[in-house]
This record gives sequence, C-alpha cells and structure tokens, in this order.
Amino acid sequence: MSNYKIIEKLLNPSSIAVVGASRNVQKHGGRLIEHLLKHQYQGEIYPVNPKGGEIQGLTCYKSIAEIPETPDLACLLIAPQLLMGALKDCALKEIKVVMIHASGFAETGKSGELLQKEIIDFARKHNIRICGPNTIGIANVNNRVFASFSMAMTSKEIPMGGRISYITQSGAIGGAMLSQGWEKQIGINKWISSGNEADLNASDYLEYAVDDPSTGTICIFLEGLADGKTFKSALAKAANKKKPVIIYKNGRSKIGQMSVKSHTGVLAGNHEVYKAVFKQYGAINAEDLDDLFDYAIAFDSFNKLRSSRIGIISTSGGACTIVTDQCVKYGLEVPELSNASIKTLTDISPDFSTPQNPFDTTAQILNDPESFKKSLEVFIQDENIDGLVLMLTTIGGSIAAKVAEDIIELSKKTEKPMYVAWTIAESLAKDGMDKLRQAKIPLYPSAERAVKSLAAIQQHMIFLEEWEEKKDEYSDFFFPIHKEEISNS
Amino acid sequence: MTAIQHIINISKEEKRAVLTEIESKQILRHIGIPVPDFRLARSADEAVVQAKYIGFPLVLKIVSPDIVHKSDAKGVILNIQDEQQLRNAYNEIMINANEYNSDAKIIGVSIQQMVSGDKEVIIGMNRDDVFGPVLLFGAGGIFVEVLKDVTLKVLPLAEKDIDNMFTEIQANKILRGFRGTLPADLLSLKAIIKKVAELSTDFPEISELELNPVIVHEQGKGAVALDARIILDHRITEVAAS
Repeated sequence: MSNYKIIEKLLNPSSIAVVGASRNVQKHGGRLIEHLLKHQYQGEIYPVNPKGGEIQGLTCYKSIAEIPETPDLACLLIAPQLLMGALKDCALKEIKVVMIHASGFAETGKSGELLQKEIIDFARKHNIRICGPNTIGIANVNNRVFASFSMAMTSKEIPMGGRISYITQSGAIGGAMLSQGWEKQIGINKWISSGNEADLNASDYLEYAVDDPSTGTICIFLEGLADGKTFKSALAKAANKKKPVIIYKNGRSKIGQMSVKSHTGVLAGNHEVYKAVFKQYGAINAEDLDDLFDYAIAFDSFNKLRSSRIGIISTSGGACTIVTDQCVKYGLEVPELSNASIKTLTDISPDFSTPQNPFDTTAQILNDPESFKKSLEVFIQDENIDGLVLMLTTIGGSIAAKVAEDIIELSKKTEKPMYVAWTIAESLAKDGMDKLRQAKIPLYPSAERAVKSLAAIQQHMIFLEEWEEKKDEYSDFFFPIHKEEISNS
Repeated sequence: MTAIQHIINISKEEKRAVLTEIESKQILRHIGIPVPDFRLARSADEAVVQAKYIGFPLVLKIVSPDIVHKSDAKGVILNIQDEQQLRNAYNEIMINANEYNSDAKIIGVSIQQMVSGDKEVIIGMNRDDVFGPVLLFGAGGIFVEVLKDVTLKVLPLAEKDIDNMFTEIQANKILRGFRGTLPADLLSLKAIIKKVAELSTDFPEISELELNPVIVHEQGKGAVALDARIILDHRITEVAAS
C-alpha cells in the first residue's frame, strides 16, 4: 500500500480497535474512546481489554483476535512491554495501520531504543505501518475522527469544513496549540501527532498533505528530521502544487555541535541550514510560534493576494502610521489612491479627514458606522490597491458587529483580501471578532502581526515565481522518472 | 578525479583529517578553481630559488598539518619585496610556528604570488547530517564570523539559487558596484560555487571546504581563491566500502 493510502487509512479509518481500552475516562484508553464517541465517530469502535464486558456502552473484546472484522486502525494504548504481543495479534488479524501511544522508547535511552527497533523490524516484516510511538493521536474534523487522548479533543465549537492540515512532532505543544487554534475558529481539519516517527515520519505526512485534495494549507511544528532528501522532495511537490507549507522549527541554540575547524562549520549551524532549506524550497518559516497560525489564517482566507500594493484604513491616525511603518519594514508598497478615489473620499468624509492612503476615518465612525463601509468600498474599487489592512482600534460594543458584517459583506464582493488588525480587548468586541473568524477574514490583535502575515504571503508569491524558473533544474534531482508530469503540472 | 582521490588517500593513510593548504589548492586546481601560483619550500634557500619562478611581490605561509589557523600562529607574511625580506620572513615564520605549537610537524612554507583586490568573499561547503552538502557564500576575510553576512543553500543548486546567494547578503551592494567601483565578476564566482557543489557530490569524504578569502575582481577579470581549507571525514569511505 502506498504511503498516501496508509495515511488516509490512519486519518479516515472505517473501524478502530482501541487496545488498552478502559472504563476510566481519566486513563488514556478511556479518554480516547470518550473522544471518538463525543464527536460521533461514524465507524465501528472495538475496545479491547482482557477483562471484556462493556466499555462506555460498547462491547469490549478480550483480545484483538476476538474482534469480528479486521479494523482499519489499531490504537495501542498499552505499556511498552506489552507491545510486541499486541503487534503479533495485529499481524494475525492482518491489521495494517497502528498507532503506538506509549512513550519510553528511543527518546529515553538504549533499552527503549532496542525495543523500538524490535517493534519496527517486526512491523516491516508483516507490512504493518506505525504512527508513533509516543503519538498522542490524530484528528480528522470533517470526517469526525478524533482518535486522540489529547485534551484538545474536548474543545468546544471545533470548526467544521476547514482546509488546514497540521503536523506536530511534539504532541504536548501540538495539542495545546490545536486547542487554541480551534477556539479561534481556525479551520484545522487534519491533525497528526507524529511522535518518535519510528516508521511514518514528518516527510511522509507532509507529502500526504500535499497530495490530499482536502488540504489547502499545511502547518508543521518541527523538531528535527532524520532524512532531508524526502523532506525536500515533499516541499518541491508542494511548490509544484503551489500549496503553502508553514513551518515552526524549534532547537535554534544547540550548543557544542559547532565545528571549530572552519568558519563555514560555525556559520552553517543546524538551525541555519533548516532555515536555508525552507527558503530555498518555499516553505514559510514561522520565526515565532504565534506566526504558525497567524500565517495559516492569512493563507487560508478565501480572497488571495495577487500583488502587494496595500491600502490602509484605520479609525485612528496613529494606527495608520503604525500599519504604514510595518508595510515599509516588510517591503510592501503603500501606493497613492487614484484621482477618482480621492474625489469620492472627499465627498463622503468629514472635512477634517485627509483623502489619502493610509486613510484615517477619524472618530466619525462612532457616529456614522456607514462611513467606514463607504470608504472601504472606495479602496476596494481602486485599481492601485491589491489588498487591504484594516486597523480597528477602539471599535467595540454594538458597532463592532456592524463593522464586522460590513467587512464580510464587501469581502464577498471582491477578490481583494482584507487583513484586520483589531486591537480592542477581545471581550469588548467579541461578537464582531467571532463573525470575522467564521467568515475566514484574517484577524489579528496587532498591526505587527497582521502585516507580518501579509508579508509572508507576499514572500510566498515571490517564491512561486522563482520556482517556475528553477523547477526544471530540480526535477532531475527529485523526480527523475516523472519528469514530464512535473513540468506539465 | 584520480589525482584528487590520491590526495585524499594519502591523508587517510597518514590519519589526517585536515588537508594542508597546498593539498587543498592542488584539488582546486584539478577542478578548475583559480588559485595564485604557489610552490613549496623546505628551507630559506629553497624559498629563494622558488621565488624566482613566481616573482616578487609574494606571500609566505606556513605549511603544517598541525596548524590549521595560520594567521593565529602568525604564519602568514604578505607583500615580500625582495630576497632579503624573503629570508627574514622565512625565519620569522619558523620562530612563530615553534612558539605557537612546538610539537607541530613543519613541512615548510608555501610561496605564493601576491594577489591584491579589495573585494573579498567566502565560499564554503559543510556537510549537514540531515541535508547533505550545504553551500555557503558571504562577505569574506578575517571578520566573517563577526559580520555573519552569509547565506546558505542546499542541493540541488539551480542557477536562480546562486543568483539569490549574491542578493541575499548585505554586501551585495558592494558586489554590484558601489561609489564608482565597477561591478564584481559574479560569473566567475558562480562558476566557483558550482564547482564546489560538484566536488561535494563527487567526494563524500570531504566534510568541509572553505575558500576564504576569494578575491573577486571587476567584471570579466575573474576571481581567485587565496586560501583554501579542506577537511575530510574518512569514516565516510569506510562506511561506503563495508
């Protein structure tokens, strides 16, 4: 079976065996079943526990052998010393995909490493593919598969219909960020905690997400890779498909690994090399952890930036300056408005505001929210403008929802993207902010984060142009057999 | 190719990871990277004889497998104008080397043509455990680690990637021509970078390579690697053979 089909089975299994099932929902083996049930998993769940009986209303099987069919996926929530036995049972049952949740393998030292090797050797021999060990699970929101014991699965109002795939090597950070993302209505659909990657690894999951038609944007929390070539090859594929891959890489300050023999050895340190690879292959480098989802929502919005001439509207003159400063910092153009736009703005705005880009609507908006909508329309129609940054400062209360609705209404009528920096406390404009998030209008708590995300999109646009120039030179290296397919795509 | 392998094999037999400057430059010559004319001399008298072939002004550098950072050992003397200066320089370098490391095995000195130019770059290669050969380009000279004005690329290296290396460093303004100076010979630099990339693919034993400084002249007038350092990892060949 191809890696694609294996990972598809992992993320969308028609039946799941939960080995190490428990009545106690405080235990991983109880919680995973609780999460599957809570989110109305559509397939069959087969709890396995030598005690048998019933678990959370489901028939519990005393062994894997007793399960009446061959499950697509087995979640092995058992101690390391029981794993080999369970794997042998999986092999007899012809189960092809397993998740190993236990920790205590290669990450802990020599004996764990040996056990991990024994498991992998056995799995290879019997064509069993493994996610983990040390994985906290997977989620596939749109198909209602929440096969994880992470607390993130208890999030309220998990957004449906998302197109973001999120791969995390660290389960704990991954799960915590996932819950934050979902709470902010970020459309993370597929999530994989890859754990120790004894078998399937980040490059395999990345390639899957690149090939997956339901994935639009890919986020990765990366700690390290064993093999750079498959990773580069997956990034090259993403570039061919113009799919954005955003990566946060930790571990920037490795001490003691530096070569002292040459300057090159010192200057080409591990983290610098990762960053160079990202740049060369068009992966978007999330320098800070916040950047990961900040960029994701910018790429995930319906309206796509085509060129980078930015229009700025704010309810404050000071804010106009902040946004302009940020645009200049990232090399984004803030062009002058057309004469027609200047004339219209003069007609609709109060005498004390100046009709220009950036445009300060002044506090007039508090008395006349409609004036904000009108000036937004002028910017949308202006041919000099490709995208907009709207900085809302102290817009709150009842006006908040009205302003948000206007932005959403206008965004549907144009292809120009709008990035909103809304700086009032969330609780004072929650209604409006929620509306924007649900409409997938990128929303940020500061001008810095909004413009930084916009700049990430622009960088990716520049890369895709560059990729056209160099992809033929790369294809021999990565895809010697499928060369035609690449150059035609 | 076999000549390069021969140099590598000798260092392996002698259990040396660091090639001498002369060995490194012989490899560069084989793959067509320009280096200044150089000759080895084992005594002051021999140096005087060799100097006749190269001509003054010239540069004297210590040759020792145990002295990697020649400047730190005060083992480099520039701009030597005549025979007397040459003899003095030879003696001075020997004294300095002995003070720096009295156990160091001294082979002699290399006598090199003095090449001058005001634009110095660094071109390097470091083999990364995960991504393989990493190519480095940046502002060269003795302050590279202070300025850190460098950029990195991995393989494959498209034409566009090399162009990007030139624009990604701060010093790109200087390379393009600044305050009336003519633009630097980027085509020559490009050729050197490509050759380093090829070398890294052909010889997996080479774990690090550094050309610093590379003097780049104005457009059409070439670039020369003044100093070179090649570091080997002999385990690589052993693994391949087993």
